[in-house]
Amino acid sequence: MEEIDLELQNLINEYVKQIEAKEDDLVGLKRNIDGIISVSKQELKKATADFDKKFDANEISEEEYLVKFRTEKENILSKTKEKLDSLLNKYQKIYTM
Amino acid sequence: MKPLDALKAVGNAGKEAFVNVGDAIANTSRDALRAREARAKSPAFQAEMAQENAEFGKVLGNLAGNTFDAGVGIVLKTPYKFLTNSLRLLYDKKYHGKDFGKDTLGLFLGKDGVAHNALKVTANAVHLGAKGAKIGVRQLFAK
Repeated sequence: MEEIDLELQNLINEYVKQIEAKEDDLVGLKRNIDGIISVSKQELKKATADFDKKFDANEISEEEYLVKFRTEKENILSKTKEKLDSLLNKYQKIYTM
Repeated sequence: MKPLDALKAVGNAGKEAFVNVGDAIANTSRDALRAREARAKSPAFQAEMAQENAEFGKVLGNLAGNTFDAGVGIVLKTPYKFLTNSLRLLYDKKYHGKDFGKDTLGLFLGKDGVAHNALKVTANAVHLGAKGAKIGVRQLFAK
């Protein structure tokens, strides 16, 4: 049993070593995702400020505001998904090379 | 008209003009406020917008979470395969029996096994960890 324990421990040590070697990649992945999400939030915020301005200036009604907002929201979400997919593809390419 | 009376008249006229200007400003502000109130968003609209914003945040969160989980799978695929294959080989070589291997392998490779948990915990550690911080994955396997 001791022998197998030793082998197991070595195996786990090696596994941990391999995971540790990828830590920077994982942290990088997380940063990239956070960056994309942050840009998307900013985009919707900017669009909302623009709609507010138009609403206050009586250029659009509540209904028009909602329609514009929903359209913009969908556009941003769709763009975000594309960016995230493209990011994953990059990782996929790197790790399957 | 005496100079003093003339002066008083000028003063009164000035005072009246000043009051008129004040009233005009007050009226204009009141009108502007009324106009602004008329453009205030209705409670129904505000509720709808709150829902839209919450949904946006939720979808973004899900997209980020799913992407990260998929990314972890891609990045750690090689170590994970190494571990699972090595474990299988190790138990085949040492025990030749399936029962022990089955039970023990379950501890490592099952749904709640060490190998699976390592991926999950590593992913969570990155989720929670400070930017650029090391995960400290070795501690997960501390004896």
